[in-house]
Amino acid sequence: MTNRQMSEIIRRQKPMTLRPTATVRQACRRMHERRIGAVLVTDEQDRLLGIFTGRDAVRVLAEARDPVQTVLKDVMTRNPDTLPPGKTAIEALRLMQDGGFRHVPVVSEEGTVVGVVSRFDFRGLEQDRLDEETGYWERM
Amino acid sequence: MKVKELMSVPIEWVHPSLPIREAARKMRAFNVGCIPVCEDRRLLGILTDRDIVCRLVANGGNADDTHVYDLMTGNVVACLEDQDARDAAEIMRAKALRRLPVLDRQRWVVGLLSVDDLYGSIPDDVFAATMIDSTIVRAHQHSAAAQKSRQGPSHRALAWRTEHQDPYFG
Repeated sequence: MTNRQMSEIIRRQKPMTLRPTATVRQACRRMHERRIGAVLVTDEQDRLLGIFTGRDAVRVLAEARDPVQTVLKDVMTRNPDTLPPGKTAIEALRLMQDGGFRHVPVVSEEGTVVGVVSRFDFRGLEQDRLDEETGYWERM
Repeated sequence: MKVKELMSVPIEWVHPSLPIREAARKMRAFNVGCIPVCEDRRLLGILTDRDIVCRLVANGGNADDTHVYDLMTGNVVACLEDQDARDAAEIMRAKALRRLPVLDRQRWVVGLLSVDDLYGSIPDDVFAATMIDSTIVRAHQHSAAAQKSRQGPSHRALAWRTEHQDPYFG
């Protein structure tokens, strides 16, 4: 389980991607319809430009921008940390734990987006292994 | 380990009559994705960035005319600060929740406990079960909820007054 690769986890995925010129409202509508927490922002060659999450949407409102006028290019998180499809689940979990985020885009060697993994794509064994590594269990 | 030792202490909360614009500013300023909704420190509900995305921005709503009580989730389940972390995990698992407001014995809001806070503080198998069950049950709830059409904001505004009679152990 711990050695499961990203390519296996995202096998059946069709990641939600939008162009940088899409609006915040369009992104939020997709997140609502597809029940996902993030959309990936890509160019015409499917190369990753950034990621847009609920946090970014709240920031748009806080800064008094209009979600219908504001485009993702201006409010997305640029150059997020990514993983290649060959990496294992435990490496993805470690990256999320260290970075304090919930979504990691999976990007191929050619630089194209092939999927996104979220915290909840993982199962028990991988969580256990991370516990052992960080020595958290000693606190019990 | 007690809930009190693991919870994050909310430095901020919002009033139900606050416009969403102001609530968003508070969430941004304190860098949180989830904020308790209170009146005189009594818990009425929870507002998350997901509520704002799905119930306001996706529908093209106006952040100045919409208020916290239009978007918040009322009738929330909570836990107590002197409860054992394992009990809190069980509540999360059974109710399919990833965050619980924490109350003291007088039922004042004193903190917020997220499933991430439990990580490493309860046995691994309990944590894994909590994580997985809350995700699976949620997925079922979502598909069930999708069958029904959503109540409009005005209905919700009326609803919170009746719903919050006893929101603590719903």
